Amino acid sequence: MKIKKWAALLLACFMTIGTFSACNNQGSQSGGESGGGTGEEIKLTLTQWSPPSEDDELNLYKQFEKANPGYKIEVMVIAEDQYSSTLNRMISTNTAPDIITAWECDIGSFVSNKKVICLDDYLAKSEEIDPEEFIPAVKELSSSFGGNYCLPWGYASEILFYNKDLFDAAEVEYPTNDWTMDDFVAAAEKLTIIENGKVKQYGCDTLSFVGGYWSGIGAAGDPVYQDGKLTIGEGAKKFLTTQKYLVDNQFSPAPSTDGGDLFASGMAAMTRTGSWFIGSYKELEFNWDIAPQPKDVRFYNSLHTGLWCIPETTKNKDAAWTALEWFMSEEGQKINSKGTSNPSVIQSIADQGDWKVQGTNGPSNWDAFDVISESGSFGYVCAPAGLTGEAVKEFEAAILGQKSIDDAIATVQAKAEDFE
Amino acid sequence: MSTTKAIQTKQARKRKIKNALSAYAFLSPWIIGFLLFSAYPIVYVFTMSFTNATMMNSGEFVQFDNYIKMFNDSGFWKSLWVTLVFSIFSVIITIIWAFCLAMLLNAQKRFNGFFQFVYFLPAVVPSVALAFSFQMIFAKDTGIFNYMIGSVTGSNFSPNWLYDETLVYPTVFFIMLFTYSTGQMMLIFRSGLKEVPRELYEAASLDGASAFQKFRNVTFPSISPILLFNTVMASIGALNGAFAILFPLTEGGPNGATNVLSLSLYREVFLNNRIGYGCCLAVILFLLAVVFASVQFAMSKKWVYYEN
Repeated sequence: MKIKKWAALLLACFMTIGTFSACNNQGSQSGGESGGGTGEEIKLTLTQWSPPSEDDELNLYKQFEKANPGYKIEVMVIAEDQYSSTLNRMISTNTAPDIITAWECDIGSFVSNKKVICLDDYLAKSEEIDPEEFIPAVKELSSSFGGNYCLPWGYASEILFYNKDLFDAAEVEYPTNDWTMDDFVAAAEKLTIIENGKVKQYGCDTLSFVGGYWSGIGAAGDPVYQDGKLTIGEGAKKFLTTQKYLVDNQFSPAPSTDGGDLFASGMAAMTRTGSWFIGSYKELEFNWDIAPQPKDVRFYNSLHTGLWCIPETTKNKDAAWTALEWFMSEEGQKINSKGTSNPSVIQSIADQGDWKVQGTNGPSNWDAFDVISESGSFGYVCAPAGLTGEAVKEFEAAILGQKSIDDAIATVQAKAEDFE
Repeated sequence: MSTTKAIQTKQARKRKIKNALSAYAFLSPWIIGFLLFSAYPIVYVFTMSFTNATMMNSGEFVQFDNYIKMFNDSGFWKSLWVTLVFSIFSVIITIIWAFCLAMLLNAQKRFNGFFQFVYFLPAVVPSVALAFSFQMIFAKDTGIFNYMIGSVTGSNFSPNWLYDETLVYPTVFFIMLFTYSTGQMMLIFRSGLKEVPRELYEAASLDGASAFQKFRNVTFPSISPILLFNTVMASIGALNGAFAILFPLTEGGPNGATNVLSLSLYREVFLNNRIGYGCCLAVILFLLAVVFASVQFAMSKKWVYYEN
């Protein structure tokens, strides 16, 4: 009996010690090994929210290893819905990897808290990267930080997709690169087919991707993101009024949980969504094309990217820079463009067109991206994701008539003030 | 004689201390775990709620600023109201549903295991997967449910189930019936119902009791401790676990109709990076859970029957 009792006590002690040792995982998650010595393999760790290409030829990191013997890149894939919070946690606990691919909404805080290093000294010595060649939005972002703290891996934007077959059937002229919002609404009206009170074909799909709201609001004249703050007003009112008009007249479906793609299924003649859908629509059976999002008082497009930066805590800063420099070189950017279908932020590389993934039946209007790169801005993506997400919920409520447009905008403005 | 007694008393006291120490030693893994992973985080959250901490820095002490801001925010009061309504109704509905299923299973004589498996099957689907499935089922234009309504009635009636302020509640409560928590409650009720002595029903039958009287005077008192347990667990689950269903399903919409506190908390901490303010919301959620559980335990004295 006594032996049993002591054995149980011993077990309890082991469990207690185990509890403590389980808590102590320090070191195992630190940012990579320094290696670095002659003949030793230099291992770099890097975060990303999607796995790299399975095709080695299009895998940027595999190609870097091939071009730079002695380097090894370990990619840490973090689920997209936890990406930002995990990255913030890693940065704040000094356990970030050697290279992080940050989101626009986080980079400002990383820079202001000196958690990522300034790359200007490296860039000054670089023969591969000339920051003057970056598209205007990237220059603007760097200028707001007072230096280059990050390098965007490419860019994507919201874009207008249209079904050429449905346009032909309705005898409506195709969208052009200088289409206005009025042209868009008029076309949506003509393209909508309602039979016996039921919509058979929508002129345009609902804004299933939140970025569409912000691009529309920006095009209607609001700054969207100015002086580190989400800024909307009359532009938002104008844009939401148009959206409500489209929904009320059934030219566009109401915001809902529809997971189905009405454009891809041929039930909507147009859709405004992310340019990354070009790859998804490659195999569509109908003829389709792209155009910039309709202009209102100006062209405006929200740009999206991943921003490579080097955390202050990494021991491998020079090695990390070697990798970044290669990623941003012509060779690296061309591989990345082919793999992701996103144009490079370096205009001369983007102009070579490696990012153009031609589908069977579209697209052909690649010039649309010229408008996007000129008018694109890292707008709403720089604001906290919770704030912009809540704002879109307010916009949806206004479009559905659950509250007035003015109330919705006032609510968003009040919340935005809180983040000043 | 007195010396012997004194030695015996001393030995007894020694044994008592030894036993107590042994007991504490055996309990120590749990106590340490509780202190580290429950008590300390709770105290820490309270402390953080008085700061303007973000993910990047621990912030400064801002006294009651977060609380003042929160109480002045109409969105918070709406969210609190939604949390209360959602929690109360979801507890009532899921408890009744779980109990009815358990009763049905109890009454079932053949293929018992099969029915139990069928009833419990949706409960093992992860909440997020369940939410996404129902999102597709209840979609307006491409949803299966609206398609079925259209096919059966031949009408163009296609409600926007999850984007309509009136319809969203019945829809969400319906979805809640298939969650793990409801399935688990059904199993607990079922095990409780099995333990009700048969002879009590036989005696009630001999006394001429109707089915309702048997339920009221035999079944209900016998399972009342289990009912209390399930109610408390369901309440805490509704307060904290609602997030897993509502975030992927409605994201708090339409027009804030399902914006429960746990959703606001997630948004503030993980999307807006405002840890201090998020902790403030967490404190309110914690206090709400304490109030819920305390009220239920206080009221239980009137209706829970303990044999001993």
